[in-house]
Amino acid sequence: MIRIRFHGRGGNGIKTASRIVGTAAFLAGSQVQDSPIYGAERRGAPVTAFTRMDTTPILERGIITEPDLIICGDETLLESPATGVLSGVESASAVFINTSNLEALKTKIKIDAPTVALDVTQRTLDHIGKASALSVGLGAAAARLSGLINIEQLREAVRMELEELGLDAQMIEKNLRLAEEVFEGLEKVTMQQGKASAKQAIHDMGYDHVLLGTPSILAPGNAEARQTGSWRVERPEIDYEHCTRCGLCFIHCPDGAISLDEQGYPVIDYDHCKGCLICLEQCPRHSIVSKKEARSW
Amino acid sequence: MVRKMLTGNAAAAWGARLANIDYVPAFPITPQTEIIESLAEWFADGTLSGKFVTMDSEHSMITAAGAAATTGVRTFTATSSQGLIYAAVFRLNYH
Repeated sequence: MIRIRFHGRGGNGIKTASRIVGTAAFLAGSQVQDSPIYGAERRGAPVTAFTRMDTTPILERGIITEPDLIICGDETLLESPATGVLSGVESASAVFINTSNLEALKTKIKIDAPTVALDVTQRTLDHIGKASALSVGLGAAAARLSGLINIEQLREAVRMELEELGLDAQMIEKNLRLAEEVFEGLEKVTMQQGKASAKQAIHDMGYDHVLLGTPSILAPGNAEARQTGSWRVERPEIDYEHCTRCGLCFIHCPDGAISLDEQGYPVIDYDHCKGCLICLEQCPRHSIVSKKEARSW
Repeated sequence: MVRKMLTGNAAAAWGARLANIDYVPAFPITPQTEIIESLAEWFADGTLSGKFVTMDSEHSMITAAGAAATTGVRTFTATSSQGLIYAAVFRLNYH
């Protein structure tokens, strides 16, 4: 069995990438399973998707803890351990990272598996003009690396999935060219069978008392360590020239990411501001403006 | 034989279709809604004969399903997450 785990952000097309690979593998005659976890169900928040392919019926279910391939669509996810991009990396035959500078990334992050890199974002921009539409590029990369899928099967899968999403013929054609370029720009990975593909145990879940079955809080007060500011697509900025210190933004911020300084001016905590822009909507003086985050959106 | 890849939701709807269900009280909730949408389409186009009824909540839905089932009508419904919890209030009575 080949187990692929995709990581990206909401709005990147991670679910569709996984579906494209699943459909392509199905067209190639494999038994297939693919499923996503949406997590926070919000643009910019981490998303994970899973694809399994095998020659025999797949009995495994659920998340993939020991992937053969990890596909990372957004390199900034690697800086946040909570996203679990590298969880189970020891079993991976390759980690694919969408980046323009793998060497720089490797000086910051230790990756215990062979790495493959390609700047999918740039290629997506070149072909489609929208850097966040990574589904086809990442799907093509995974399809190629798996070694089980040929270009015709990939093309057909891309067409099927994008038609289902309602894309027009011209946009599908552009995506097909993107898929081909990514597919041809990569080599298939030799899977280290027996590394991840050792039979994973199927656990009998049994019955837990409800108090045990609910999530446990292991340490109090550590929510601050989770820097959800990386989810932000739009960045609110306060124009202090016009701010009257009315405090409405401070009151309305649903994440408590705005505090007041000693003079009573609001200050945004960008490590935790998710960019919902409720503050901007509330500001009676329009002295909060939004800026696009530089990253790929 | 046609070999086709289906989503879990589509497979569930097909299961209900092949079981030749007669009555579906329905209430939408993600990610289950596709199941009842498929069934609604089949009831509307005559593929399935019987009654498809939209309800005002999972609470009513499960009540209708339970009541119908006790009469022997082949009944199907679907829900998920909080919907199931809400439905569970009544489900307990059919143990």
